Amino acid sequence: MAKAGGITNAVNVGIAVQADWENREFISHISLNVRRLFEFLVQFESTTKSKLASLNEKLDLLERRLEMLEVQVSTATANPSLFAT
Amino acid sequence: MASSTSLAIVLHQSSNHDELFMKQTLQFSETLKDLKNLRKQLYSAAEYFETSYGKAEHKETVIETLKEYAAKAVVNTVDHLGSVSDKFNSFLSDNSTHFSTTHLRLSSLEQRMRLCRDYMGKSGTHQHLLLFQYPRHHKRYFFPQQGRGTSFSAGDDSHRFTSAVRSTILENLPNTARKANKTGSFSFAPIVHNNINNRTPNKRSNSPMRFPLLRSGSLLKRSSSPSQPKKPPLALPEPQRAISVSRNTEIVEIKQSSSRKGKKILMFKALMSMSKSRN
Repeated sequence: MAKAGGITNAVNVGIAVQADWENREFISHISLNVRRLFEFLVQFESTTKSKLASLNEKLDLLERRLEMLEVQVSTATANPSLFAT
Repeated sequence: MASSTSLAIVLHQSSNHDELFMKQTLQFSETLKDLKNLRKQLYSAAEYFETSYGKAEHKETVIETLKEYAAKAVVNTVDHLGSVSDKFNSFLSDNSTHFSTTHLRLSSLEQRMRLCRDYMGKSGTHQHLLLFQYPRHHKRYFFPQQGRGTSFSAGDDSHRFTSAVRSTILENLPNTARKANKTGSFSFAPIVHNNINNRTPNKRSNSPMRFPLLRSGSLLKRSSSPSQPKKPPLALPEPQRAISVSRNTEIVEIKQSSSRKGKKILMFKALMSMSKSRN
């Protein structure tokens, strides 16, 4: 009886260890995916920042060119004698 | 009618576009809210499972539900992040396309401005060029260069001079011919005089120009023209001119006396023949 009880205890311990290993594997998988998500978020932040910066520069350039064109058009309309041929 | 229908179509398209844009913005804001709430949900779920694992008897079922919840939470976060990143990329691409279109429009505007400026500059230069009057010299005033001598018989300058004179003659020929017909005093035939001016008859007879040329810079010394044959040359000295005049008067007197003698002889012969016929 004692031997049988010892065997069942050993089996139970084995089952518990296996379950614990499975749980650890699941946690490792979850942590790995969370890390990947974190890396993706960091990369996404950097790319979005660079893209937004480039877009901002382009928009600034366009704004300056528009202002220059507006000034040129305003000067041309203010001096109509320049267009008289 | 066509304009009203096109306007309606454009308004409908714009309304559809606005509706789509509004829907997309609402979805984007909802996903962002879900992402913000995910942290709280995860923390609350972790506390709940912790308490249930300590109190409940069926620990395995609690662990299994916890696992499922964690997996679903990760999947949901991945989906949220993917959708957000995709929408953000689409937003950036749309803005980049708008930027490219505005860039093209601006470049076209700048090119138009440049063209207008170039046209204005060219018109201004053209006006300046029209205002400036270049001096025009007639061909007959083209003379050889100074310091080569007065002879025009040899060399390139003489050829140039003769060609220029011929061209002026050809150009002015109708006018001169008309003037000659009106006045009746011009002829191409050579004129022979007994004066001293006839020592150079070829020059004067070949010259069709009746009016004197302005020869301030000329190297030629043609002092007379066919219309003024009796003018003495300016280059002759005074004694030579006096001698020539005295010789001319003597010759005229001799000719007159000889003609008188011939007339007297003829009268005498006629009288003699009349007296013979009477006898």
